[in-house]
Amino acid sequence: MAPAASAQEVSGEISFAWWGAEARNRAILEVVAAFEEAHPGVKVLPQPTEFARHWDRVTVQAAAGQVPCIPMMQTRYQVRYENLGALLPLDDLIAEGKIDVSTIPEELIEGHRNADGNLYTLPIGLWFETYQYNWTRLEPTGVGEPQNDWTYEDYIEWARQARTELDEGVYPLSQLGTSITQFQMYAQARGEDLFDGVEPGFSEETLADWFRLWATASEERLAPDMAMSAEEPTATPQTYMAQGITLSRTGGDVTASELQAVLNELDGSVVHQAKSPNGNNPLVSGSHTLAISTNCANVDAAAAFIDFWLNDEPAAVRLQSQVGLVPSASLLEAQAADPNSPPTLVDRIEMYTDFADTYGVRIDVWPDNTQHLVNEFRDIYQQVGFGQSSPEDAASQFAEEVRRSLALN
Amino acid sequence: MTNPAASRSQRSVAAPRRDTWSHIPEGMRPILAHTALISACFVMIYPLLWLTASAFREPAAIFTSPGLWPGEHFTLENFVTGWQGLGFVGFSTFFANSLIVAGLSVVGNVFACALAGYAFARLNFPFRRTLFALMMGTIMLPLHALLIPQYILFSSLGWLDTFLPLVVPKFLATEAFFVFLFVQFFRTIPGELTDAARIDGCGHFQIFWRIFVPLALPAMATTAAFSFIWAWNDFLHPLIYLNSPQNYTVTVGLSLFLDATSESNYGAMFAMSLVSLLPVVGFFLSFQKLLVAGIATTGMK
Repeated sequence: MAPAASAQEVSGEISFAWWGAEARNRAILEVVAAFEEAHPGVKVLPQPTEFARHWDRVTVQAAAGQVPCIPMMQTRYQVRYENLGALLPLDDLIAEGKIDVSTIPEELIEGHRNADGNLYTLPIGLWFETYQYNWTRLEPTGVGEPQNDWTYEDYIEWARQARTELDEGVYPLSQLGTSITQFQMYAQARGEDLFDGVEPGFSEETLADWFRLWATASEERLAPDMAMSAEEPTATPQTYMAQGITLSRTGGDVTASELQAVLNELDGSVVHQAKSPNGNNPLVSGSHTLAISTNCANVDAAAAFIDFWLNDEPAAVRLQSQVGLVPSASLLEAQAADPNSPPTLVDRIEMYTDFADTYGVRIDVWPDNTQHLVNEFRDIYQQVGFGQSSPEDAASQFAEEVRRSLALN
Repeated sequence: MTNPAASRSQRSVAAPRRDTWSHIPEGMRPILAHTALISACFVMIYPLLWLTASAFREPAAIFTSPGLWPGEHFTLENFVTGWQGLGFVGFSTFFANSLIVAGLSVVGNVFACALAGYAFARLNFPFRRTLFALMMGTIMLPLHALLIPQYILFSSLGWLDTFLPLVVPKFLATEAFFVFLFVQFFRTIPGELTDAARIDGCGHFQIFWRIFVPLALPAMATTAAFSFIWAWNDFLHPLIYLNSPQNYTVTVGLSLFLDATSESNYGAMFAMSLVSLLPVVGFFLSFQKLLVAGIATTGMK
C-alpha cells in the first residue's frame, strides 16, 4: 500500500464547509488548526454555517460548479450531490493510500457506497436516535426500564402501566405518530423498511397500523392528542419532555445532554436512553461525512485533510465527537479514556459500543428526493390525528407520495 | 350624492352606541382607553422584552424561567461568549461587515434609484412606458428564481466571497421598489420648476441635482431607511455570496449560534440579536421624522 497522505507533502489552499453551532464550530476549528500545524504548507479556508443554510448554500454552489473543496455531507442529503456529479469518487484515493480507512469497520464504509458503485463520502461522525425517558419520574410508577430490543407494542404496554400512576396532565409518551424515523423503527421490527429501491419498503397495512397505534395512544391519554402535539416546539430545550409534560421521547443521541441540562434546572430529573424500538434489528445510524468536490483544484491536500480527520488521535480527542461519534473504534476508545472528555460523551460512547456490539450498525442513506417526506409524513399523520383522514386512506396517500418521489430518481 | 335625511337617520341609529359608554364617568374614559392601549402595546412588545430578558439569563434557564426578570439566573456571560463569535473572527467583524454593506447599499440605492426615478418621471425616451412596466415587473420576480443565474454571473466575474455582489447592483438601480417611489415623488413636483430651471440654462443633471434632490429629501430618507434595514436584515444573499467568516454579516453570524444537529447556544444568540437590533432602531429613530414625511408624500402605504 502507498504511504498515507499524512506522510506526503501537500500544500496550497482548500476550502472546507460544514454546519454547526458554537461548541461544534470551536471543536472543528481546533482540528483545522491541528491539521495546518501538521501540514504547514496547507491553508484551510473555513466556511461554517447552520444545518439548513448549509444545504441552501451548497445547492447553489453545486449549480455553478463552485462547491467548496471539502463539503460536509450527511447521509440523508448526500445522494443528490453524488448523482449530480458534484462529488469526486474516493475509491482511487483510498487505493493509493492517500486516505487510510483501515481503522473504520468495513460495514460502516460500505454503507456509504452509492448505487453506482462509487464511494463519494467517508463518515466522520455517527448519529442515531435513541429512546429517551425520565427515569426519575417513571420509576415510582412501578414500570421497569425499557429494553434495547423492545418494539413500539412493548412501549405502549409499558405506558399503559405508567399511566395509572401519573397525574392527569402528565403523559408517559410523546406523540410520535408524526415521526417518519420512528415509523421506520416500527416497520423494521416487522421486517420492513422505509425504502426498497424505487418502491416503498413498507406495506400500507403496516403504516395504517402505525397511525392507529398513535391514535389509540392519544385516546388512552398515553400521549398528548394531536391538538396539543401540533403545538409542541421542536427545539430540545422547549419540548414537552423538557417541560415535564411528557416523560419520554425520541431524539438524537447528542440531544440527551441538552435535555438533561434543562431538566436539571426544572426538577433534577435524570434522563436514561435506550435503542430506538426496532426490536432486534441493527442500530440505525446516519452519519456526517466528508467528501471532495469535483471542482476542487487541490485534491491531494483535501485527501490529506480527510485522512487526518479519520486517523489523527490527538485531533479526535480534542474534537470530543462534536460532529457525531467518530467511526474508528480506536479513536472512540481514546476519547473515552481522555480525562477531559465530559461524562455525557463517555456515556454516549459506551451506549453506542453496546448497541453496535449487540445488534450491529446499519448506515441509513436516504435516496434523493425523499427529504421532504419527513414533513409530508407529519402532515399526513396530523390529518389522522385531527380526524380528517382514516389511517387506511392516509397510509395509501403516503405510500403513493413515496412512489412518486422515488420515481423522480 | 349624500342624502341629508339619510345621514341624520344614520346618526340617530349610531347614537345609542355612544350611550353604551355613558355610564362610565367622563374622567375614567381616558384611563380605560389608555389601559387598553398599554395592554395591547405590552402584548406587541412582549417578544422583545422576552428576548431582552433571555439575553441576560443563563442559557439553561432560558426555557425554564418564563418571567421577564432574570433574577438569580442573571448573567452577562451570553454577551461575552456571543461577542467572541467564532474565536478567530469576533462578532465585531460581523458588525463592521454589516455596516459596510448596509452603508453602501444606502448610498447606492439613494443615488441610483433617484436618477432612474427622474428619468422615468421627467425624460421622454423611446419605450419609456414599456421599460417602466418591465422594471415594475421585476418586483414580482421571486428572489429564488434569480439566485442561481446571479450566482453564476458573479462567479464568472470573480466576485464571490466579496461584498461586490451585495453592493454593486444597488448602484445600478436594481431595486425597482425605490425607483417607483422616486417616480411617484418626482411626478408631484410642478413642471414649472423644471421649465424655470431650463430657462436658466440647466441641463437634466443640473435640474435633477439643484431642483429635484433638495425637494426629494423625504423620499431619499425613506429609501435610505428601508435600504439600511433591508440590507442589515438580509440573510440569504450574504449567506450565498460570502463564504469566509471574515466576510460574514451579522445575520449570518447569528446563525452560527444555532444548529439543528448539535448543541445550540441560545443565550449567546439572544444576546447578539439584542445588540444587532440597536443599529436598526437607531437608524429608524434618527430618520423617523423624514421617514414619516416620505411615506406621506410618496403615496407609499
